[in-house]
Amino acid sequence: MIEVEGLQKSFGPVPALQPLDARFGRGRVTAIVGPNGSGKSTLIRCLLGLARPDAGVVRLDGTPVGTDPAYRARIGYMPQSPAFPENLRVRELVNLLDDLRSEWSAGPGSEPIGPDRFSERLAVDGLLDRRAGDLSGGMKQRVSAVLAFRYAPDILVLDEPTAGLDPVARVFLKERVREARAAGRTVLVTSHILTELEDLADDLLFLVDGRKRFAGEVSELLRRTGSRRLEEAVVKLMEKTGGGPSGGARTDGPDAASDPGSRLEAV
Amino acid sequence: MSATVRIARAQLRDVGRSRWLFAYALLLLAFAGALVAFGGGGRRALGGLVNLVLLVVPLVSVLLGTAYLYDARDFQRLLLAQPVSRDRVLDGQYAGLALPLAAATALGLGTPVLVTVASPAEAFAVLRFLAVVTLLALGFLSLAFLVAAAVRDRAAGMGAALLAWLGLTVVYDALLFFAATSLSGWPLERPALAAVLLNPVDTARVLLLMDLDAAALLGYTGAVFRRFFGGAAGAIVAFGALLAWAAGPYLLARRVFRRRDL
Repeated sequence: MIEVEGLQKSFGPVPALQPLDARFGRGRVTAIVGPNGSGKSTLIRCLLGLARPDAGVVRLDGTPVGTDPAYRARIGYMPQSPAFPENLRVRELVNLLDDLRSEWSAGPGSEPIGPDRFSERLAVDGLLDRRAGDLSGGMKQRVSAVLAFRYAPDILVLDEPTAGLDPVARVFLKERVREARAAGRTVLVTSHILTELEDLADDLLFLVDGRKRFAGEVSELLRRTGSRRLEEAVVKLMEKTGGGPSGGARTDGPDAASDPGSRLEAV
Repeated sequence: MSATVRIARAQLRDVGRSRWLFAYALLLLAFAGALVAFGGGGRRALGGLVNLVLLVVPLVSVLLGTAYLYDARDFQRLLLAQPVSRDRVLDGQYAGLALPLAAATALGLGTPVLVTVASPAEAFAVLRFLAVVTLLALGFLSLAFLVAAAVRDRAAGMGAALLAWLGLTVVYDALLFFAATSLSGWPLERPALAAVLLNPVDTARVLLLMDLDAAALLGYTGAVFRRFFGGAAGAIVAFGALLAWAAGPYLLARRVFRRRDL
């Protein structure tokens, strides 16, 4: 369980997170949604310790996250744009992260470190001897996915996880997210493509200008907005809360993956 | 094995395969080789290298370091999403850059000169030369870490790194020269000594010229410098100043990095 209490962060005079309270439960997939500059990335960065909150606290199972990095052994992180040292081979990269993780307990539910079927299915095994600098964006994303899931973390933070992935890899990844949920893990996911989130997310946290505008079950949001689809519900929410297209956001359409203009910007 | 060593080892592999570092080592090798071939071997070749080394080594160190760190920023975030402290990540990155940079500098400059030395005393002088230049490289690498930790924007950071190099290699000396000519009636030896120790390029220059018995080039002040730097205590102070330049900006960078948002 992750609890966020009174979390506040500004960058200079610009408030990125206004006092924010939220809870992310075990065995739940939570979609973090909002227009550009809504505070999604800042929230993730505060959770990972990459940004220092001005006020408030993040707790993992009741223990406040401090400057001790040990808690990050429980987190698997898939960044939006993975970047690796270009002259390092993928195998060396994996070995480095294995080494960095080896002295930490990955917490309850940890699996032994080693090749898993996920890396086979994402065809990362075939990339192990390639230089990171020679990988395409999609290949890097696949490597990043394997690294995030590799240590069977309690918590998965997936920032735009399907961006650049081919349909097969996307299906495998979503399958793995569902397995993680079934295994009782906490999954936080952001995506530009609301249709991707629709069949994954149990809960939704909707942020505008660093403020929480909705937090709850996706089914509850659909009921409240009288919508049948998540994108429709989010659009209604954005129009209602002033985070709509005028604020830089776009609406999702029937084929969001193939039409960039039909995506929710910066979700 | 500590996280620092693990990160340093991975980074050594990455930087060691960089063609920029290879090109830099080759450039130094070519210059040193040419001076040995045309100007005489051993210590005599070093005299011709001083001015080149004092410009090129700091420039390459600070620019290579700054560019690398900005390029590695996303990877740095990935490392910091692991159970590793910021200090360990930065220490690993420093070691992973410092070792190949020092090796490229020392091997590039030293190889042609060391193979032509005529005596153990000459070999010692060459090794001392290489130690001074390597410390100078590390000082400017530390400055690169400070710039990359303090300045978020890459273009601004590269500009700041270039300004730091220009300031320490050119502007500082111009200001000293202006002060010396304006205050020519005053006894300036001690302030000049302090001013030299405050700038790693000047400290390195004086140490290198002392080693080459070229203090006469520095005029009357040179006699004062020779008295100070020629003795064991002076040499220790000068090497201490270079070490402080290698460590100081890095420790400051660590402090800034510990607190900054990534």
